[in-house]
Amino acid sequence: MKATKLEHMPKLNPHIKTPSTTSIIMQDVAIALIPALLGAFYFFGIRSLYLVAASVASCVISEFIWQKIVRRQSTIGDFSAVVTGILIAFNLPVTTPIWVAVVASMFAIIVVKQFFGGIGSNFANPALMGRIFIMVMWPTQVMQYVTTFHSGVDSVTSATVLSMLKGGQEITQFSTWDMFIGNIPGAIGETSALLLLIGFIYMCYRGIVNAKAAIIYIATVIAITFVFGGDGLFTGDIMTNLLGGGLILGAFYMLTDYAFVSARGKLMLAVLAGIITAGIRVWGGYPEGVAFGILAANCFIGFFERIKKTHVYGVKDKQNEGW
Amino acid sequence: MKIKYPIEAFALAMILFSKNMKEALITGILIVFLTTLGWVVKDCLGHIKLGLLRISVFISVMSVGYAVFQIVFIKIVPMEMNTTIMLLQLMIGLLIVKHLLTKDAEENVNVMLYESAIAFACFIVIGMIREFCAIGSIFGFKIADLSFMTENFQSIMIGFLFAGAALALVNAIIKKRVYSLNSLLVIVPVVLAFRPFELNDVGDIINFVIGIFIPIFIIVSIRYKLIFSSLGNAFKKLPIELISIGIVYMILTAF
Amino acid sequence: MKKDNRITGLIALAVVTILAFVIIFATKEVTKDGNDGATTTTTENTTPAIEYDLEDIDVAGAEGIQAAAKLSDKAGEFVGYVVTASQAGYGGDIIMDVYFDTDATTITSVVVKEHKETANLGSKIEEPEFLNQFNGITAPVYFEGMELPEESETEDPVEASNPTDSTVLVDGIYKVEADAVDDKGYLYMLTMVVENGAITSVVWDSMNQAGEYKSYLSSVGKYVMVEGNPTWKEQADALAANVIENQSTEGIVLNDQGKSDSVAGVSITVSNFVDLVEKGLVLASNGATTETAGAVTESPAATKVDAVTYATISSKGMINGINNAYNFIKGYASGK
Repeated sequence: MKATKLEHMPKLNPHIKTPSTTSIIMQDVAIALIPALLGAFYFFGIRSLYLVAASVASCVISEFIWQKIVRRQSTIGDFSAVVTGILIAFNLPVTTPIWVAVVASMFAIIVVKQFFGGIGSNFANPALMGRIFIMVMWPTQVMQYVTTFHSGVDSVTSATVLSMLKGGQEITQFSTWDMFIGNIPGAIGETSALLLLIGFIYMCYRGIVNAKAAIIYIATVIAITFVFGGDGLFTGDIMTNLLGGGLILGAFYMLTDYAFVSARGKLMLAVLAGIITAGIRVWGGYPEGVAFGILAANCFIGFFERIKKTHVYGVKDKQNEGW
Repeated sequence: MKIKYPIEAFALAMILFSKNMKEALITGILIVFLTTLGWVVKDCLGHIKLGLLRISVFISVMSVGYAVFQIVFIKIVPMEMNTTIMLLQLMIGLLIVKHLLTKDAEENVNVMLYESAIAFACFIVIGMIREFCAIGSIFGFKIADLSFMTENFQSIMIGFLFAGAALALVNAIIKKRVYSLNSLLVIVPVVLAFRPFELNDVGDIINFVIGIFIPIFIIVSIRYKLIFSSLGNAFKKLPIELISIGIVYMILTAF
Repeated sequence: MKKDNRITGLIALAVVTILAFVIIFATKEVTKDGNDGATTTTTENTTPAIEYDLEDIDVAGAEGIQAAAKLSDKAGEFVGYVVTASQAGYGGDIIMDVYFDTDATTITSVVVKEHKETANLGSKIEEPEFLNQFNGITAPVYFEGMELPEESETEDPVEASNPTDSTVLVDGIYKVEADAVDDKGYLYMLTMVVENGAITSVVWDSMNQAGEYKSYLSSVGKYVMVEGNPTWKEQADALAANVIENQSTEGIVLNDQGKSDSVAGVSITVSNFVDLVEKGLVLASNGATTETAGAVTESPAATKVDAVTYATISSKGMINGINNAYNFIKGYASGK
């Protein structure tokens, strides 16, 4: 069923819309994620594809059923549920039980997105919240990272690169090149900076992403972890922090998503998210802080929307470029 | 149409006491009882001066409320009780009083009872669900032990989520919505009692102040955001804010 | 009509009150026989019920020990010791009180005072299920797959003589490690317990560089053998049982790939297991002689306990803290 534009268009401060509808944007994001998807299959085996399939299916079905129950136009055609499903799976280690991925997807779509009114109305990124939900409820199910190229017979559990860093271990098994191409233990979609970058460039080419915010977020995290992350000041491990965890995935695909704020507001949010992410990595209890950082910034979207002056039609406003 | 059942009191109760079916059942019926009692007092004394009326309702509901909660929770059916819980139960009483004394409190007791009954039913249902998902039992009788069961289902943040969902369900059934901004009355006491995080090196007073300030800050921010959301009527105001705080609690466990 | 309304109200009140009573008493009846799985009662650790008089012991310089005291009951009789130890866990330091009996070796109880472990995971160290296993056992303690406390660490195996069938084995606990990490990054180790001259326990394990043990990994499904075969740990246990039964490695015949068909269900490479057992037997048989400069490997029997599932680091922190407290108090008790 074709979703009418009015139904699922987020109700925001009036501003000029680009010609793209939500579905085209989302399809582009999904396309951008394909390289990383292939990488997941290559590095972690067929099970990673099962996880992605399960997540996507759960997301789409949950959204469909919920919208049937509350008698709203079905929006599954806008592909946003598909993207959410892919991103949820990308945040999981390959050993995650399928039911965990399904539950995460149902929670993300129904509670985090649809309870609030659908796309554009939610304040928290659904994929990240799905991940946090299962991390909080069933911590042992989502912490079992394995090394790449395990073929099922002799899978070797491994700590992720970031948790090694946090534990003060020296990282000798993985070179920076390994981290760049993705040959490290981690969640199935986050390991390969190279493949994610390819997708990101595609999105920039299509003009659907805010590159500035992503760069600023990454820069903030790197700066803080560099200054405070090592044993003394200015001795933090830049490359590991940049390439070793979910920073690239979060920055390119989840930070610039669902945040319908002004451009300046987005940059401020990026800095805030960066501070929190780095803070958790350096001083907090978890070795990885991307999910928490971005979500914490999400909580304050309301303030940032307020701070910026509302755009008045007919008046040129230098700040209001893009969305 | 305005809501006629004591929604804030039910909200607070659902967050705290829906861990299992037993607590839900008992707390729920006590709320209905206290609300009806307060209504009767208010009705019998309807002709006296307003200020005096308010005091009378307040005293009667609070005192009887304290007494029944103490008696039931300690003597009759022993359940978890400590100072914090007792204070929160008093808060429930206060919220009942507040509801009874608002200007548009229902003249007709039937509507109030009908809506309260629906709320009570939903309360019991979420109690059952949470208990089953946490420990595989219903009303204390062990039924199953499946892999997804975890005690985390009885935590406060899940309580927030279920309370919000339950109230949305109630509102959807009775086809009404919340109009007033009353969620902080429910949220702040819970956050003070069950801090999502604590800063270790600062004093107790500062922790207390932060405990009040942070949820207010975050809820206000989320409210600004929700202005632009196309929420269903049933979810508006209190239910969605409870769900939001539940989500925020999860995020705050990182710290 | 206002009057009708009031009557309705009063009737409603009466009905609701009766209903409330019914529900409350029905609930009481139904849940009466302690079927209280539903209630979350705050569980208490088993703290000593008697009030003690404390006489502080100086802990200056003792690493990881915050405080210690001699305990006497109200009648003035000396009843034991309490040592407050602090040890790194997963989320931060764990602070615990370890209560010892008058012999400074038997633990009467352990209480966790402070911790920052993960909720529902490492925090289970403060549950009676974990702590009660320490009541009344002898220190030091260990759990399977973990290194033993320093007390019983042995020096390098003596090259001198190989054990023969008639060699007498000396009681004690012997720990041997492979010389180097294998090509998969695992270091193999073996612990052998000899009681009354016979091998009573053999624990074989290996640890990777992340500090994770194969026994743990395999029992939680992370180190997977061929589907359908016993887990690595089960196979290790089978090998151990074979050695205990035969009191030597005779029962295990190796082929040239380092594997063996002798033990049912075992398909893993066992050559390093056999190596380590041999080395352990050398130690055990030489335990009585002091020709080499090696220390006598006798040690008080360490007690095995169970770690909290999935919370190895938190459990290790507890164990290390308890053993540290034990070392301290033993030193104090024997030194004074």
